[in-house]
Amino acid sequence: MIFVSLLAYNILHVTFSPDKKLFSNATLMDVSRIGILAICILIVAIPEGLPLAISIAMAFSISAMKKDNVLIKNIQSVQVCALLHEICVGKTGTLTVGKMHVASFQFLKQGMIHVNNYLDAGEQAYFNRDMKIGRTADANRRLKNLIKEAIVANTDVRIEVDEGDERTLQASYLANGQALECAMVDFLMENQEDVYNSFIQRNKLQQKIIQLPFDQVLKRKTVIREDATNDKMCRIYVKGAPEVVIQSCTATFDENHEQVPLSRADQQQILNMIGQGIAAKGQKPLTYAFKLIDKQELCEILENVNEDSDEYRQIFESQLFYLGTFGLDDPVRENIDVPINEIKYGTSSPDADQKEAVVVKMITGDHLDTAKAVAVASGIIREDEIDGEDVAMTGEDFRAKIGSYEVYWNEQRGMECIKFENDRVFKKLNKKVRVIARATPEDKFIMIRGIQQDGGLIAMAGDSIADMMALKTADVGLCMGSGCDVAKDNSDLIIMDNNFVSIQKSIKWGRAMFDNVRKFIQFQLTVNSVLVFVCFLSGLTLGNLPFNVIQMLWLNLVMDILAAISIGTDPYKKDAGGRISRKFRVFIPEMWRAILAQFVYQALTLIILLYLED
Amino acid sequence: MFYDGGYNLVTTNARDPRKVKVDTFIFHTFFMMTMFNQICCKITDDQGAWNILGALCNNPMFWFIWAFEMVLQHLFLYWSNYTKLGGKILGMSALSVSE
Repeated sequence: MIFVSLLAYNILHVTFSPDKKLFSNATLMDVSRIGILAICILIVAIPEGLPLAISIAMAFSISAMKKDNVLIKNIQSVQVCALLHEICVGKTGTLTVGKMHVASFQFLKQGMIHVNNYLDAGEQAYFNRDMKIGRTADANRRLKNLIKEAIVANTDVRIEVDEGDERTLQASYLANGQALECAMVDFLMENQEDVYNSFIQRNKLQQKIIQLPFDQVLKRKTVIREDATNDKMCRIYVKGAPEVVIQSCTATFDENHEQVPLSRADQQQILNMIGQGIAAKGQKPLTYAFKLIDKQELCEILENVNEDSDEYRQIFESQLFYLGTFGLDDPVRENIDVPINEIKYGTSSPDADQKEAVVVKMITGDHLDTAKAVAVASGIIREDEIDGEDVAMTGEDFRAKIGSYEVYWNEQRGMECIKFENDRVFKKLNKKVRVIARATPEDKFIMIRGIQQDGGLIAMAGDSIADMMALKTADVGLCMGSGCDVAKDNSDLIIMDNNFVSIQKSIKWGRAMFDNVRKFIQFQLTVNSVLVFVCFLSGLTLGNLPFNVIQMLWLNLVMDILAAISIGTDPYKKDAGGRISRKFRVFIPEMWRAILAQFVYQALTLIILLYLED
Repeated sequence: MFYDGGYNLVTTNARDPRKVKVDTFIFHTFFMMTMFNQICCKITDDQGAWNILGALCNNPMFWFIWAFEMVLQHLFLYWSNYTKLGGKILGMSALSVSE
């Protein structure tokens, strides 16, 4: 345009001046000079620094995040972090340390919960010595052996020898495997049991026949082994969530190692006790049970019943003997309420009635009372909110409340979508719910996809196999470095130092990236518009430009490359609280105001200089 | 062709010295405004905040580049002040401090 305007001016100029010829060398020179100027203006006017600024801001954020121990697998996720509406977190390993320890236990029909106090100074655990399960010494020993056997038989833990460090040279046994099972074996070791030999004995005398691995939906794990004392019999060991396992227990033992029935009322009583005494303290309850089965009968079942049918498990996991329930304590990470409050409100000490900028939810496979206790401890919900309607619920209730739904493959979007019976019900529920306990992987998927279909952007932080689907579905999948490999594979960001603060930092860096790009756009738009405006005006009216080629290129260097580096590398603000709104995204009203003001000021100054000082 | 003053596409033609002076002045003014605009951009989204120094002092890289640009720009001016070639290439003429 400027080229055309200059050309037009020159042609008119040449045509009307008598001493010049239209078709001469000088005219050609003029035209080519105008051409070069036009190209220069083009170079200056096109904001080629913009993609550069975006990539610099991104690269800067990413390298800064690396320093904060966040490993980025998917670069897109950094900018999504800045726009997040909701974050779903898993409990174990994400909010909690992920190292478990038996804190309390309850055996048989006993009406009380014992506290495992081995950590108290000087006092040795009393599971072994002082604890009286049975009335006589003999009954006591036999009952304890039963429990011990159930723990040892139903585990995948490997016992390894730890050489100790160089100074002490004290070798010790080390349980290696899944955190929950390790904690159980550790419990035995704390109580001076010879775990190493028990494992050898187990492998020698009790061959494993069948193992039904832990199932996220069924919430239990079953192992069938040969009986050590009777080679005609087999033993079935079941462990899992109390509400599942205790329901299928029909008998237990009394103090004299005699078999007694376990009625529905008894079951309910034990479950209530576990709920109040174990789960409500934030501990994860784990119930052990077993039963005897004739080898002959087992063979018949194996032959006749289809392995995949429900009946198959049903046969093994019914009419069990209840042994006991352990409460496993998994301490909440230290000071976790600070980053969670920062994510939610933007400050670490929010006002009582402040509205959340980002909603933090907890989805876990654990017991409802456990989940509630941890949610309060970590600041996801306040203590006075926890009993509100629809705030905390189990996965089962959640599914019942949203009504029937259907998962289908959406060709258009290229992903699995959910068709709710009533969208509004889900929306309403979603606004209130903060804690979902006993959630299956499918519940997690429904929650996340449902929010996405509602137009929300959601991050999922989790670290177990059960979270895999959710991590993959969410816009940003966050995984702790201590999480399992499957979870890491499916997540976008990996928090290497297992610190929840890093999640908050990655959100801040995402916001900083947006801020930096905004600043750059504001700067670039002002310079560009003023430059083009002034050049155009002067080309049209005066026939030449106030800037020459070299000057233009220098300006271009300043406003593109150097500005991208200097403005694009600002660190995040300490009080970067509010999330980037999706409505404005990059352009916010303040920017337009600043651009306009600067443009008017600069253009006026230049015009005055251009015309008046001449 | 480029060494012949009459047909040179890169350097500026011999123009009215007063005109060149004004153009240089415009260029320098525009440059200075650009530099201060950069600072403005850093504090735009902090409007209403009392402590703008916090937003200004967070990035040493910014000030390093900013100072670098300023020094270079004034060197250009200096160069075109005292040498003929510099003046020709940059198309600038002497500017006194008062201007």
